[in-house]
Amino acid sequence: MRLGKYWRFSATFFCFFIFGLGGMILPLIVRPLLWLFVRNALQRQRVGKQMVHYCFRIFVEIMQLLGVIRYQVIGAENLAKTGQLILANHPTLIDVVLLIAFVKNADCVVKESLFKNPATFGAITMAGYITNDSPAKMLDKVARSLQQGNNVIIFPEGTRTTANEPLKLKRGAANIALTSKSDITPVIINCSPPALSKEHRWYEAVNERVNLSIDIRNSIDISEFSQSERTSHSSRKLTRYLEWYFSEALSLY
Amino acid sequence: MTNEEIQARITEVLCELFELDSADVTPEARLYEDLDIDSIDAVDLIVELKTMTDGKKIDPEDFKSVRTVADVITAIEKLMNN
Repeated sequence: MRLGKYWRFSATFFCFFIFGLGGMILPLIVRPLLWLFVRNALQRQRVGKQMVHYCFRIFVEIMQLLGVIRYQVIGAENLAKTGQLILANHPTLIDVVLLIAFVKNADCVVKESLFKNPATFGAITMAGYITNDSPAKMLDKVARSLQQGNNVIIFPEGTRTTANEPLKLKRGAANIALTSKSDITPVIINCSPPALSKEHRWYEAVNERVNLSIDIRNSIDISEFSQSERTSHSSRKLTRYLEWYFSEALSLY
Repeated sequence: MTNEEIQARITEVLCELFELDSADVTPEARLYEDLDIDSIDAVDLIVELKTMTDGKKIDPEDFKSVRTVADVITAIEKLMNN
């Protein structure tokens, strides 16, 4: 339908526009207020995380209302706990927006370049998200964040999924799970038709409405992987298991 | 330890720690790109190599400049001769 296409093009453009604009302006307004009213730095980040959570939730609803996406959340009850390590595959640009919109107290590991992006810098620093610049430091920060009760979101592929290629995970996520002795809550994200991936430009997402589903699975008990005395061994074993797990889950779509 | 022995021991340690095939552990092999040893593995490696150097530990800062297996061997030789 031609009209639908023009509509979606405009609506998609509008969504990018308000994301960028909101990302720049909202922190400018909210941060000074947070500084004024919340004196404790940790508490301030906690409120910052909540702010981003609600803003993203509103943004996701706007995208759905405008007909850009249709979302579905499966297994939301698996998010009830605190201090969960959430690992997700990463098909699209907006995965993290969706996850943060539905996960309370979400912390996440973001790539360093997003700290330099004016549309994302404000939200990231306000919420105190974790950068992946130094793996050793990241490990400590994630462990601390989990202890504080945050649900830490990590995309263990390290970047967006490349379609039609075997799923390959970095070992960082397994290392984190093992060193912080944290069970893993796997999340399977599916995007149909494929859009906003590494191979697609944003405006290619306009031919059809994009259906996004996030499926929060039962947690994976890592104790059987942590038996080995060396982290280098157990992290390889766990990573292989996770690669199998995600590949199996995704092959059903 | 002779240089050959050092090299053989390091190869052994790398294979044992990181599930590698000794044929892949050539002096030219790059740790990160060719052998898939990440910075967290490097921590395990530094600890393990300490047993070769009477507890003298490679400074993690120095380890940052280590790129290949040959670099590891050189670093260990240097520590042992100190």
